[in-house]
Amino acid sequence: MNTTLPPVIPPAQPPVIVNRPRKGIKARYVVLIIAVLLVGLTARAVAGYFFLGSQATALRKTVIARAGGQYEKRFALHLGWLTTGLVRYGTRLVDLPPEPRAALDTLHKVEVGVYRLAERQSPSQAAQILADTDKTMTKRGWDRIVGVLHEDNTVAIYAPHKGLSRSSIECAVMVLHDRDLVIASGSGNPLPLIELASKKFEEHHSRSAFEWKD
Amino acid sequence: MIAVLGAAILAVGPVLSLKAENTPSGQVDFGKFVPPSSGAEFVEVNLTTSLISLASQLVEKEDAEVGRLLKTLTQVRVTAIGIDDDNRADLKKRAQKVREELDSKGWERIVTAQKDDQSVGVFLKSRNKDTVEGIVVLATEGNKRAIFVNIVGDIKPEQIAKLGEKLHIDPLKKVGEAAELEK
Repeated sequence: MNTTLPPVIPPAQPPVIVNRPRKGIKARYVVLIIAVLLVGLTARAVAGYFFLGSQATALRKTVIARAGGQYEKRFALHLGWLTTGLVRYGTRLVDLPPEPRAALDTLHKVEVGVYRLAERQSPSQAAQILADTDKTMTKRGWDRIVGVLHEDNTVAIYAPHKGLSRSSIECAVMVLHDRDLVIASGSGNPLPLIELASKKFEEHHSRSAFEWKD
Repeated sequence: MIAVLGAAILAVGPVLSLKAENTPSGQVDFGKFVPPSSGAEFVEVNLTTSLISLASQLVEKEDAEVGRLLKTLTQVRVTAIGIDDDNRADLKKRAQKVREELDSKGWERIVTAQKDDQSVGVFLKSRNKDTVEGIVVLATEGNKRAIFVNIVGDIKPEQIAKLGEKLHIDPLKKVGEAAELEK
């Protein structure tokens, strides 16, 4: 007996539904993330114009702490390399006098903060402020290159111990006059400003600081 | 424990001695000056090697001689401090201590001048007859202010007048000029 079995037909499988991500949705998320990032970065960049960098902040905190902690912020501005670069590039089209041109060419990063202290600092307090800022900046690898205390004025200029070169210099300045505190720091190429300053210095310099009085 | 301490001392010892050896013999430690509490003048300038080197590169083009002169310097420290009742005794004592230290360390006192209420002392530390390693100027203007200057480097004696001229230190300028005349 030769019998042929009918072919076995497998039961119909239910269709498998594969959830493939739709390209449209993915792109939408990507766009959304980019938009959020852009908004965040823009907000951070705009806010950055009004906050000082680390060296200037350290200086400010040290002075404020010694001065009793009470102060009023008057003004703070931070211009980074991108902004100063744009300004430099933009002003090439304008015919500027040598002084502002030299200043613009020199500055690659600048930040300035102006504050009003609650109380006027006595000379001994000012001396203590200078000692404190010295300590703070020394820890950060910066040396005080100039220190002046006279009447109600205190000035300190700091520069990093290492990393200075002909085309790159960095410094931080603290000026305290009466109750007004100015903190500034900047970096850039000093050549244009020094050339201008040396010309002016030669013009105006008349008397030696160590002149022997006859 | 003793072994650890011993190892630590052995490790730190050479570093400390190296530090002492690295201090140039022309460098003088005047100590830390405290600004007068009366609000009298206090000016301190401390230029280290990196800044002086930068300055030398900057002026080199305009004045090669000054550029070369600056290259020979490693440190310039100037302190001008107003004298008041609180610091008068300390400053006098400190200046005296510096003078004694310089005398004991073989510094040559080349100028001692006293006129009215002003006094100036200039000291040189020479390596040999052609090289000055350090210059110290101590000056007082009566009861007004005291000035402490220390210049460190490898300075040629004939450069001293120029140095005084460029750093605006008149006593040095006069010393240099006198030295030139002696030649």
